[in-house]
Amino acid sequence: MVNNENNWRLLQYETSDPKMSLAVSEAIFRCNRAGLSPNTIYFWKTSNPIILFYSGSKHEISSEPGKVGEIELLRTCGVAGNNQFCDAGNINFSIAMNSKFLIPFLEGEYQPLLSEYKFLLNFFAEGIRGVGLKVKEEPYGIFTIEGREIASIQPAWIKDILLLQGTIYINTNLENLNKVLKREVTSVSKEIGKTIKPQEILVRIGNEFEKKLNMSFKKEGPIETEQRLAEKLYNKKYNTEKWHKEGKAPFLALMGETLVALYVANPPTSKCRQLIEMVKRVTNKIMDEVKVIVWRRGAGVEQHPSELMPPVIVTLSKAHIIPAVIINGEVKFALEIPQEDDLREAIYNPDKYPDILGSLLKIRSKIS
Amino acid sequence: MGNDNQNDFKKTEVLSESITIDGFEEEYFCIICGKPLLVTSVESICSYCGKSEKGDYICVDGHYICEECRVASGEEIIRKTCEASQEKDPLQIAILLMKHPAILMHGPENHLITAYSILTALRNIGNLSIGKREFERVANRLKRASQGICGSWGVCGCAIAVGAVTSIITGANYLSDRERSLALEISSKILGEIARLGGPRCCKASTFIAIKLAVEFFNHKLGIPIFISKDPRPCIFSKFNIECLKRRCPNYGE
Repeated sequence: MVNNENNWRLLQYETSDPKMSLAVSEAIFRCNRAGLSPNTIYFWKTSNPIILFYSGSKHEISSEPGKVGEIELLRTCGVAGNNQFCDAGNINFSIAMNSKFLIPFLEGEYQPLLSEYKFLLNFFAEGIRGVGLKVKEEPYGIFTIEGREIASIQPAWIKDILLLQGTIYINTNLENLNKVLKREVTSVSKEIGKTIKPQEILVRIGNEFEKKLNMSFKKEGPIETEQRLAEKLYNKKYNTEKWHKEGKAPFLALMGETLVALYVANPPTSKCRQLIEMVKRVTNKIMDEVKVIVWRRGAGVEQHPSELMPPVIVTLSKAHIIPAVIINGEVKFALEIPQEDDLREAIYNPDKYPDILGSLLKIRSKIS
Repeated sequence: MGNDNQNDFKKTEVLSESITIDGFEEEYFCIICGKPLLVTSVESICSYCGKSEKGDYICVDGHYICEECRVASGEEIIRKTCEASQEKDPLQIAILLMKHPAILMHGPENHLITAYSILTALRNIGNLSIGKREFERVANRLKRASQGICGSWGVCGCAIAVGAVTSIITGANYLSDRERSLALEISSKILGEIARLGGPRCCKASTFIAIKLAVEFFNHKLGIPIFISKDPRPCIFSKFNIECLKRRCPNYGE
């Protein structure tokens, strides 16, 4: 297990494609959860202007997801925080870490999640203060004393593992930014009246991390598993319009395998057992590429603490649709046992089979 | 419990302690008592609906759940269980129902549980004539008590459930005198107690309050010999409730 409080990596990975940077960020996050990667900070840049939004923050953008002029709107896996406008003048960062390691360092009144964000943002705020600008850190960003936003974050969580994706506006083209973002944002160079070398701030941030967390960064590239996972996430999620425009992407297993989730009665009925048996037969030869998880009704997420539960199981539970086969987050078969050939085909080629959740819910509502 | 454990585990022929399906080995636990389930093939009686069928999994305490009940919806399991139950303690009926995976921690099914548990106990005590019609009437009335009604209307569905049961058994309507007052009195008592407990809402705590106060009320005001055999404390649902009031709730216990 490489994941401990003293083991920190400064990820060395360069790409000109911001979508790949998002894929790498999610890959290091997932691998940290799996115990394969150390706590990591990854700084990245984009030459093309982009807006980073998350599914709950679309209202802040004065356009539908897609492209506004030359500015591309990209969806992150964040679950809170603020939209971020990034161009060549920004420093973007992703921190993937076990939040438990922060507990000994947190001071003052503890506010779940917010205390962690604020604590980590303090390092970035110190970096900005180092060039002579007075700023204050809040849970979702860093602001000038007058209240103008100068850095933003978007957090995401898997259990105790935090992915904090953020940006600092250093020499950002604010004119461009204001065309698409409804919030007032400023930049370090605008506030202090001169252009700043991003490296100057970066070094200070790194020093703050090492000093306050009492550790030294190891400069390393991604491990092979992270690279493979990042490529998969890039191809199936971040390089697709479906994700950025509709927020739809395959719900893969933690390490990127095809996730076959079976939702069954507790204990399983004869039909549920037949289904489990069939899935086992079908996946027997492809166990490296497929992860099969049996979720028992009413047993909660704790029945598989290290696995990701497809959110659709909550919907199936409320609509009492049992049993069901969920492949990469979509309901492919439910209530009846499918033909074995259909099940095999759906596991090998999930996109060929539609998500039948909508029609199942319609049937259920008609019955009730 | 009436139909809780009618199976004598000692008489069952246990085949194995867990089931292996081509390498998927799973251990299952009884949803009623939490003890491990053993594989069997003998005729078993469902602890919910009372149906007898060739069993597959049974626990050492004799709990068995038929295939239909395992996939039932909340409303189905409440109706079927109460139809079959011989239990006279409404709280035990409610707790058995709450253990079923179709019953969510919070939600309007808990209103129906409150009403049906009390009506079932009243029917099984035998002093009142309670049949299918009374159950249907209370279920229809409770359809209007939607999810979150406590916060949005200031009236908890569990209090409405007891009010509706009181109205049905006394024959109250809006023109009645004492009968109407009785329904209002018990509902307001329950609401007062739920309000004193504070929030966020806990549908289990509200159900417990409603049943306990209803039992007291029916005893004292209507002379019905309904009883509760044991306290719900320590609440077994606390660990599943992320918003549990913990020490602020009288049912909480480590």
